[in-house]
Amino acid sequence: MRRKTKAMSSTTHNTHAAHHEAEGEHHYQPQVLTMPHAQVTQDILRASSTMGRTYKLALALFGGLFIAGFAVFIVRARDGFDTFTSWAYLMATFGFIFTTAMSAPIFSVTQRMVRSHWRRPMGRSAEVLSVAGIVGALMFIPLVLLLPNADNRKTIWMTFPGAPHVYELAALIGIVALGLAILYVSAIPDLAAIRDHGTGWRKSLARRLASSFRGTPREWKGIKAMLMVLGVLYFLFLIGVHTMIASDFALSLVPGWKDAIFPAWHAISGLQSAVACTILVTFLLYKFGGYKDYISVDQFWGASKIMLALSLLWMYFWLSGFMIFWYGRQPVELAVIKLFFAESYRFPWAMAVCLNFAVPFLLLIWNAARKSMIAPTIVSCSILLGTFFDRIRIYVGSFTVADVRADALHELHAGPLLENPPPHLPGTADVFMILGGLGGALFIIMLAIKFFPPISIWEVTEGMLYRRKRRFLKREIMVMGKPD
Amino acid sequence: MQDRVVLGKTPQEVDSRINRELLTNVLYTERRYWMIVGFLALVVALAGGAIGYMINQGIGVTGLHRPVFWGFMITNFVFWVGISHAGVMLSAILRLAQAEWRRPATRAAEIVTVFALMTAILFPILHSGRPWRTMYWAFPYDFARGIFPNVRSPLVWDPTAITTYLTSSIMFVVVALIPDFAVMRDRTKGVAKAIYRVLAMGWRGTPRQWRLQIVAGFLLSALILPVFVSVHSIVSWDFGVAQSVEAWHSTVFAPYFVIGAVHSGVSAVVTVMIILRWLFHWENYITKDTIDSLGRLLIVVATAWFFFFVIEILFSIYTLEDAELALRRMQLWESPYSWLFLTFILTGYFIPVPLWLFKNVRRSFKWMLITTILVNIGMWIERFLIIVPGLARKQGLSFSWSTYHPSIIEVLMVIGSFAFVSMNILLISKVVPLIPLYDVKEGEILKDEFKIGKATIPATMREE
Amino acid sequence: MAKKQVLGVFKTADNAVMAVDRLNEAGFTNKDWTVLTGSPYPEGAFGEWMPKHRLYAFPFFGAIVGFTVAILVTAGTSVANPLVTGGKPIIAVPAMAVIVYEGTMLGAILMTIIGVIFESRLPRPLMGLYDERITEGYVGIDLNCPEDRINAAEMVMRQSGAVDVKHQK
Repeated sequence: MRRKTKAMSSTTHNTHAAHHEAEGEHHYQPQVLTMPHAQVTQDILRASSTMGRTYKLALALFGGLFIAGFAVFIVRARDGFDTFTSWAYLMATFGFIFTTAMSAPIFSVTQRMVRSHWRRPMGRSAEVLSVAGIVGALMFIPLVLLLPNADNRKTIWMTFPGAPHVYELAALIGIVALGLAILYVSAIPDLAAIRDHGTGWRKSLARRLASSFRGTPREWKGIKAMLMVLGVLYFLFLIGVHTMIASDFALSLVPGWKDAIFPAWHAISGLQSAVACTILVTFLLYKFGGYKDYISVDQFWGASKIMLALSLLWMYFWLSGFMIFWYGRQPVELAVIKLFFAESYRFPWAMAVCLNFAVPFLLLIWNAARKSMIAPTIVSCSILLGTFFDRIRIYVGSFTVADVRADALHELHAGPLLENPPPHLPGTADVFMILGGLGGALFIIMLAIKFFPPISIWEVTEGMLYRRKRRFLKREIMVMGKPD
Repeated sequence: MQDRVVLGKTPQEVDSRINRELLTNVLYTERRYWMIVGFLALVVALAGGAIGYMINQGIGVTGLHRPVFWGFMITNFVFWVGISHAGVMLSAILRLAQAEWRRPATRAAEIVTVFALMTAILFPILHSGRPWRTMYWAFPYDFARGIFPNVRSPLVWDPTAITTYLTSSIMFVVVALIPDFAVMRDRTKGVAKAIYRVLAMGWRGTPRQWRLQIVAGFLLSALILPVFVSVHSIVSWDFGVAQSVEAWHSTVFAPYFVIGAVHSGVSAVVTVMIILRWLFHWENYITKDTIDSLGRLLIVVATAWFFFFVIEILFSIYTLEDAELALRRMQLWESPYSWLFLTFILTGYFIPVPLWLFKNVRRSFKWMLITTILVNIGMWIERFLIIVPGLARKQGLSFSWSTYHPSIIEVLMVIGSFAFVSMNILLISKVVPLIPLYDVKEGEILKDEFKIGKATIPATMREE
Repeated sequence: MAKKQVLGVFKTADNAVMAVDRLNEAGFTNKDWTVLTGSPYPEGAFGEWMPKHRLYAFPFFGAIVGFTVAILVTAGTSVANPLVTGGKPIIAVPAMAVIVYEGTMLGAILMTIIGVIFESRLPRPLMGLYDERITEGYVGIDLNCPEDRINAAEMVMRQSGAVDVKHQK
């Protein structure tokens, strides 16, 4: 049987998710927005165009760090790109930015595909993070030049001409372009809102970027179709790029390291960090961005379930690889275990296990933690820190192998005990390059958020059409429309 | 365009109709049902005869010989473990994701899981030749001789995992059946009523009981999911940890096997549901929307499986080792493996997935039946191609290389396993409803709609 | 005064809600009555009292038991028959972890099943008042009522549209 739903009488105020204690009820009430569309537009545009003093200071700090890091890079570049160890920490920083911010649009893409409603206030912030790809690309170009060609060593490119440099550059340009394309296409309707209601440089820039958008059904259909196609392409491309980067910048630099799961594990790590990044940004927008009316615990609850699943997958993928190596006990496999887990880089590995698996698992298995804002945010910070340590482990570990063209890792280490070398610790220049890379990424993201509204106006107002509350017997319950 | 079926105007009409239509196959039997069960029983009997002959005469009646000691029976074991993953995928994951379209599919998927797993577990036991003499390697009972299972062996991890998964799946199904047993209790008479009264355990339908059913559904789903991932990972490690066979010692085997299992399992459930829809007239419950949603899920799963397949091949030839390359050349270019490979890759991915991209195909029962059967043909061959070619080239010295020719005994056992699972599903459909009654009724209660302008939007009430 | 059960059977959920409202006005509380339905309604739809359950404790306990048993079996049998296989230690943690993990999950799942049945207060051989129409979509209101108020309760239910009212004998 079907009941026709009458919408609840709308108020001008948002009803936040709350516990209702009347008559002994304590049913969780998901957020249902009821304010007019115009108010949504006004609120979000106002919050995204104001830049307080703290924001400007942060911009200045990150910009300064980027310039300092860039200067150190220039100084070091004068010595050439022949020594891997000099650039190990730059690669780790790039790996971190690629795994986190540059992979973040996958969150928006996948949640749009499954048509979840709770993702609506989060999707744009995930897409905006893709602008970090511009800084990532700047870091990547010298790193690609550093890579040796595929002669006399094992790579996924076998004997393809131009490998790996051409393909790596093409892959990175592709993923950055796709990420920016998704950001632009998804922002067109909001850029039209800025064109119509914004002021100053934002208005004139938006006029250029969204000049002809009027909101006809054909235009909406086109945008959604384009987002679906770009989303699928981005998803497939991202997994491919993770595979390539993990193979070329880690696997193939360690002689004899044959590990089919490693690229897939790297991709899962990317997905986990992407979700973590998005949650953290959403929390910051809620706390400091002036978007309290649009962000509720629903977003954290939905995303934390995904984060828990990805944390479990992170551990599962690692274990799948480790079990084969531990069981096989071939000399090169044991050497890899010693290098990356048991000896040289055991400290960052221990940090990664704790921060990427133990903390998320132990916190997020509790429903009360998942249904809060603070616990998923703490877990996100934990995951991001763990990923940072993990990228140091993988890329510094790979970049500091003595001879990439040797037959097998274990043959590189002299002496009867076959000891692995000690870890390569960062010097002052390395620290500056790390901070510069991170600073640059944060700088460009913070700038982008002040143009592209970090909460998608059109997706939030679309969600308002499909979510409403109604009375069912003695209970107020949410009704979710499923148009297709 | 959604395909919502209106089952009635009042709650009684709806519930009555659901009870009537979904219990018809339990309470009444058509002649074609008995014909089908009879035919399947005949095939099972033939397979049983073949097994008896093999036990009596020894493993020599099969095609197994040095160095190919694992053939059809182990391929079939891996295949059926794979099929068993559908239940958890559809039931647990979709329940946790609160996907409404899962409702008619969950119990059939869980039943397929239980019988697939029971069938799977038979094969390593039969494969040992004299099963009554091999139990000591799986269960720690032989205190007299101090011979205990080698816990460092994946062959011991296997029975642990499969027993856990089988026990959990059975319990999951049984607990979820309690409310439906109550419906059976209320609609039957005589001995049947007495039996269902015992099975229903005094269920009355209080809010507490319903709440616990729902909470248990979520909790068990969350607990069974890790078990489901672990089972096929452990089965994959039967091969992955071995160093002596080319193409086996790969770190990607665990997720590769799991995603392959999901691919074949979900396809199998679609096949079963379409057949049962025809047999039991479930047109109002297994709708085009259901198979459309399953088809979309299959596209994602199949593509993920294909990614792992490419990674597995790529990294197997990554180190350009002669033995590995020779094996891959044999798989791709030498008959009969080349034909099998071509069949597998076409039927497993390149025919079904492009077809599934078309909405008309996803919403066609005929085409979904054909494509999902093709997938399982492909996935069975895939397991064969993982196991046998590597073993045929196992030894370093080419004089001990060999080929494998399955005997009629093994072929009968494989065919018999399909008949066994199908027969059991049909037999259990006489005892329990294969579409969960309360789940469908709950879906009807939660159905809603509202208007946006001139458009009527189908909607669902969501508690949280 | 002894309490007896009264069961009202209603054709629609709205009538059942009307009945519970009137029962509450007549001095009963939601701890005196419960609702019987053939399928799950959204929680709180009838204003029913929902006592807390302790289901979540069961898998926890089961996991601990399963974990302990699995550790004892795997470590015990390894030490009882200390054969070095494949160069691995006698107490091989990664290998044992697989079986311990399965044991933990099995313990958790089995105890969850027991917990569901126990917390649902099943098995219940003496079902109490019940009507088979409940599984046909009717809604039952099962009231625990002092003997001297049974007639009043019955009248309230009938006035609210009950198709049948049964008394405990």
